[in-house]
Amino acid sequence: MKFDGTTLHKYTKEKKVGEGTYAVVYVGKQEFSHRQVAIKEIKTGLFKDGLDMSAIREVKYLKELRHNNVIELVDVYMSPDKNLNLVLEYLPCDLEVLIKDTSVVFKSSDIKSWLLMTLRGLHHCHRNFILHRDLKPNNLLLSPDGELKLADFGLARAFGSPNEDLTPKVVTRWYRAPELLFGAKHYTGAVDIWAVGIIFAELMLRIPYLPGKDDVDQLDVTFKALGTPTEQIWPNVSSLPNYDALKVYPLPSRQELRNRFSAATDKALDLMIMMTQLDPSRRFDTTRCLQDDFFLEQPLATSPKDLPTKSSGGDEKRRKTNA
Amino acid sequence: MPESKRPLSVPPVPQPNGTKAKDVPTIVQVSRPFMTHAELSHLHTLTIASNKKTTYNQQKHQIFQFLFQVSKSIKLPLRVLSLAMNYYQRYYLYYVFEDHGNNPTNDPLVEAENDSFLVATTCLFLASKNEDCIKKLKDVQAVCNRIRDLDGESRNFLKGGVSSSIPLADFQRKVIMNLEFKLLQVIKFDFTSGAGNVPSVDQLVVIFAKQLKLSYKLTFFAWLISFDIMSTPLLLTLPPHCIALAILIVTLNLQPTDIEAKYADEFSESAAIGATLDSIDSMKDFRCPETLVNEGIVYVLDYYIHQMNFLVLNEYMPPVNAEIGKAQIFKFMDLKSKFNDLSILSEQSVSTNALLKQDKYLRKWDTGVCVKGAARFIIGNKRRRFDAEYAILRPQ
Repeated sequence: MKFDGTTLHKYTKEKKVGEGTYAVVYVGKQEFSHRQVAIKEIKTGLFKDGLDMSAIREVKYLKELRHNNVIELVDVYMSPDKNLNLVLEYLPCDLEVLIKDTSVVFKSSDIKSWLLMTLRGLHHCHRNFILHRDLKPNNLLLSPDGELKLADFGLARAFGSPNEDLTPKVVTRWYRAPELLFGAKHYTGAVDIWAVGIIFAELMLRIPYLPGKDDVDQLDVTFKALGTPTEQIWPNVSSLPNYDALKVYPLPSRQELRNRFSAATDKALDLMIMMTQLDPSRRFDTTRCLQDDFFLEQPLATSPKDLPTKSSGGDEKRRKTNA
Repeated sequence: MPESKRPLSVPPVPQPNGTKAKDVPTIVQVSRPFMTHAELSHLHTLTIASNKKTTYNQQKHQIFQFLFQVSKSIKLPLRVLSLAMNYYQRYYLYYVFEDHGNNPTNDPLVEAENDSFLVATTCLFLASKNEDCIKKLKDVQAVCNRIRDLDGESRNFLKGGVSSSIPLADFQRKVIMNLEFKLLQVIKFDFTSGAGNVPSVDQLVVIFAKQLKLSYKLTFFAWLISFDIMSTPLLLTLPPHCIALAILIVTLNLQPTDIEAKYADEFSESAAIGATLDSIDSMKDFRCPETLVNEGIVYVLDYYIHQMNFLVLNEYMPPVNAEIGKAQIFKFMDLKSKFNDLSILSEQSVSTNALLKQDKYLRKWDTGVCVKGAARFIIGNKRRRFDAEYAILRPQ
């Protein structure tokens, strides 16, 4: 083998930027290329059940995927202190930061661009039979050149076989699809599409669309906005484990949605409605979303390099197109 | 009174390695999920002493029975069992079997790493995590200990009658954590087992059989073969889809009529079976390179010719085949003779000991490597990138 000689240790850890339950994240550099990277140092054997499942999932699925809109796993290495290190592409910003930054103005073409990139990344996951299961603005990272990338594959998993149960306790509450809220043990990529639909709404509203206070409240908030699913619109929904139709809210009329999303065009509203269909089998899949007329309608999606970035004190929120 | 400074919630951490990187020796480990039979036996000569070969093989059989009982008891799917058996075999490719000499301080924790049952428990535990059906380690241990007739609360398990300060279960847990770390290194942190999201052989056999519209009986026969094959080193040699197709081709050629199945169905005419066989395009329909499928066919036939009496398939067949009036094994032998001219994998590049020794990947794995420097783990399909890095580091 060619590579087993000694080479230089190729990464430096420069600054600690975050700490999770099973990992510490540093910003660093790849030595030979001076490329900035994020290094996730995983505490091995620290817990009573050994290497954390999320770490396994992250390595397993990110090694499979390579796409412009999915975070790149550059390297996996074990350092002398016996820690496992995942070297990831360094992405300094995320969509949640931008949504909260009230000094940044979103044009409809910007929203279209982010949605398009999210769907492209997700389409790549789904065609490789991988469910993300934790899509939220916070996990949609932004590169310095404006590209959006799906990150945090700690909950991802391969599509199950039909005779295998999946856990319904996935996806951050506000972005959880109704079938998950009802405790479905079999679900599909439609749970990811729902989350993208809710993110789409949040991009337009600039506040979380369905902010449930707890799991019970989430059902209420979701159905107040989108109607309570019944057997009529979603056959067999009542056989799901936690199905509960104590309060039956009517389906929202188009006018109600139009009032809530006043800036949205008809096509934008149509797509959002198809992504947030209560019945998962009626929800669009990534292919149909990507082929939707919304993306062909003027204004076309902003090119990534022209998208707004987070304000850093200065007034210029947009990258200069041509300085 | 000035407000005292509020303490930071997270204590500041000294920056590791400083800002300037130290030059640490690095070893690159490309995951090789599949190896040739020659490579496997070469590695075994390094890790299994010649006088322990029989013990290893007998114990492997016993261990696999144990794993089967445990996974049945905690209801783990077959694919987890299959992966655990794969891990177990992989572990002993790189670590010495019954390595009693390598423990200068007589540490009972290190000594316990030689306990193949704990190695097997670790394999099952990691496999369950990898296949997304994790169980609590405590629960896995409890079942393992019950089957092994051990008391997890006992403190009298150390050699020389010394009483331990911690109960057996806690002691085992420490050993399992160490073993898991060792195991992760030999699988090169490759959780795809070289096959990505491809289902396991037992699932694939059924999926392919449906695609080929096989009858229930034929599918059941193929599935039984896949169950027998699951515990063999063939899973370290070929990707699962190639094995599954090989099993189906064997099944179609044997055309078993006397299998005991719960459900009987209309048996397909042998002409139809012949047509199905002729229509199989291994690359186009199943993405299987033909040589690999052939390799699988030969292995499966050889395995039954040598082991028939000990295998599960045997229990579902009458001892004498009515069609040929002889023991079942002769059907396999007949078929093998028909397949004598199949082109299988060339092992030329690994045909001599000298060639095998040149490959530094085929060595015992030293866990100390990571303490001395960094080890980078890469899956094979990223090789191209490392060629580029290599060129930067060593300009011509």
